[in-house]
Amino acid sequence: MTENETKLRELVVSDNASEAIDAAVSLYTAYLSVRGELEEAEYFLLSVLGLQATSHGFIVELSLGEIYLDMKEYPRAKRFLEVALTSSQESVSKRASELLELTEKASSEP
Amino acid sequence: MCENCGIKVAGVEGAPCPGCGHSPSNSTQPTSRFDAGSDKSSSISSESIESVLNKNLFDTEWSAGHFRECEGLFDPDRLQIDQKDILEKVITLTKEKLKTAPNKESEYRLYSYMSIIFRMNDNYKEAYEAGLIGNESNEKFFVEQSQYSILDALFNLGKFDEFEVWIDRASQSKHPEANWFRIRYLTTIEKFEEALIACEEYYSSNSELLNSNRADILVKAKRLDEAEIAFRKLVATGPRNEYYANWVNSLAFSILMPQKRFHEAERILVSAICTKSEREKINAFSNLAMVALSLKEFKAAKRYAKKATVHPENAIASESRLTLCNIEQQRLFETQSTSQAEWRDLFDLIKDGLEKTDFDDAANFLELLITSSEMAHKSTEILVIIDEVFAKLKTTREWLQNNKVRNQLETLRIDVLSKHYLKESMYLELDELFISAVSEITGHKFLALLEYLRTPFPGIDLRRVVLKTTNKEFLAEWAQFEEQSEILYGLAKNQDEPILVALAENPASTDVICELISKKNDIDLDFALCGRANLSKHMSMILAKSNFDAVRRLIAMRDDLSQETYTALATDDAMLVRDAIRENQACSAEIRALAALGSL
Repeated sequence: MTENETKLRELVVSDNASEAIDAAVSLYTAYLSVRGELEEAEYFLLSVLGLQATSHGFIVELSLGEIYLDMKEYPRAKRFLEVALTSSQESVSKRASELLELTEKASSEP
Repeated sequence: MCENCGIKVAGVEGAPCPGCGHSPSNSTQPTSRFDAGSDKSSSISSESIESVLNKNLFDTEWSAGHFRECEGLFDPDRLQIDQKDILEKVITLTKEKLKTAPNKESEYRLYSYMSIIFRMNDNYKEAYEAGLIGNESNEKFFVEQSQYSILDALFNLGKFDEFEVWIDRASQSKHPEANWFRIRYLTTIEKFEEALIACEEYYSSNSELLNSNRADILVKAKRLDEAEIAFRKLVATGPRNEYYANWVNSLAFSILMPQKRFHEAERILVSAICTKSEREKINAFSNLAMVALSLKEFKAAKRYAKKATVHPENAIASESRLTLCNIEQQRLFETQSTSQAEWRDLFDLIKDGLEKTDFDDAANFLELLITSSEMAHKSTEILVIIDEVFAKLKTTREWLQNNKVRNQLETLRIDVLSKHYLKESMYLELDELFISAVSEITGHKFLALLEYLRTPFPGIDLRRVVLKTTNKEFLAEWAQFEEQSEILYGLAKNQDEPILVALAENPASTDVICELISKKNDIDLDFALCGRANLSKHMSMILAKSNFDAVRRLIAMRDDLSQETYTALATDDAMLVRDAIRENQACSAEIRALAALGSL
């Protein structure tokens, strides 16, 4: 585990909500998703989801939606992505829309 | 939610319930300022010792020394729930110490102390008795402590008449917890309006506690819309509130999930995972697991249920393992192509859970194991496992204390064993098994026993013992087919109508039994007797004199009566009886004419 990853893991449990959220998302995107450690990523993201303010624009839901899509849990992915779709941050809502499309497609495949 | 009083507990790990002081880390027993072995500064240890030291009315060091010794036994690093052995030790030590009491006041104070130890050890009868003696103390603290034990004991023993007397007494002496007990009591006896009023008064200075307790009472009153509004108000304070996760869990578990509002429940539960309270986090995951299961999202359900399977508190870990087994079993049942290997894996998973089970979950694990053993073709193995598990469980203190779970376990064991004995024609063993089962669990309806009693194999000793069962449904079913007159006579001693009706209809019932039943002077019983195919002349005569016109009419319609009976009925006071005779072709023309004459 790199020093940076260790630092991120520490920040996830910090009292600063913004730092914790950023750390959880970074941990997921930079390390855990790369290694396929999706369950652990889900745990970290769920641990910060409640701390989210409007300014975060449902970034946690977006990440969770992506994880569930990768886990092939489509109804769950859809539920989280639909929340992210309402984000005021264009980058988040746009990505949510793309992932929702992928989810729809994947779930309709036999 | 506080397991003691049902209100919401603090989000901070280990913090006591704001209502009753019950520590959430102690899953069964209330902790309050009157609890021993607590590491909190307001515990009995410091207060009672201070209280003793401040008085020079008696031998202070004698009492204080004992309290110090006892409190020193508690391990601050162990959960209170895991310190039952220490409670036992403290009781023994205190009883010994009492033998050397230098005066009455010292004795009262030790009894007061012992009352809370008994209470924490689930020995409510002893807590009450010790509290009564401790209540004689001169010192306010010990009196209040004793009264707390008395109230808690009476409440848990369900002795509400006496409880009411004591709560009035406590209120008059301005006992600080009197109103809290009153709220708890009013909620239990379902006087919800009064409970809500008492709650408003008691928590008037703290709107959060007020709403939290109100919401809980409203849930119990099944006023879910109002409860939801109260919870929503609380939840609106946001995830940073230390109680947030408690409220979210209550809202989801008590309101949203029963109303099948699973998506809403999920949405709010995920926001509570950030709580600092490990217990509430696990509760949230557990609720999420149930939501996922309801949505048939098995993978997610298992993932969430797994979170607490290694929790240091076995009650929590055990419950999570049980949830996990339930999820897997449901998944296998709902999957069409479940393989034998999958059932065997589940069997092993449940077996593992049963080996590590908390006593409260033991019966649920065993039930799951029995079901999966049939699917995994492990019916023989289950007998060995049951023997091993029972040998282990019988050594636990809960075996003697938790009647509900013990009875559930016994019932399951008996079901499995009886099936096996019956299959193997082991009738002696079967008799012994049922004799012991019925003697121990008198109120259960053993279906396997009913089936066995239908066969000719059960001995008279077993039948005699079974007569002692208190399950009326069981007795009524048995009375329909039992054939031995001694047993039928025993059954006829019951006063319950369904049992007597069954006996009246049972062709094996003798005249002695039928006469006994007819003496009850009950129209339904007389009707049942009238319907007998083999009604004796003697019983016909008796029923022809029934106090009920409709019964005599039914008798008058029969074609198997003696001339003497027909004649008596032909001159009956009731026209409907005489009419029945007049139309009865089995009667002679003279008798029918006699009946017609009377009808004119």
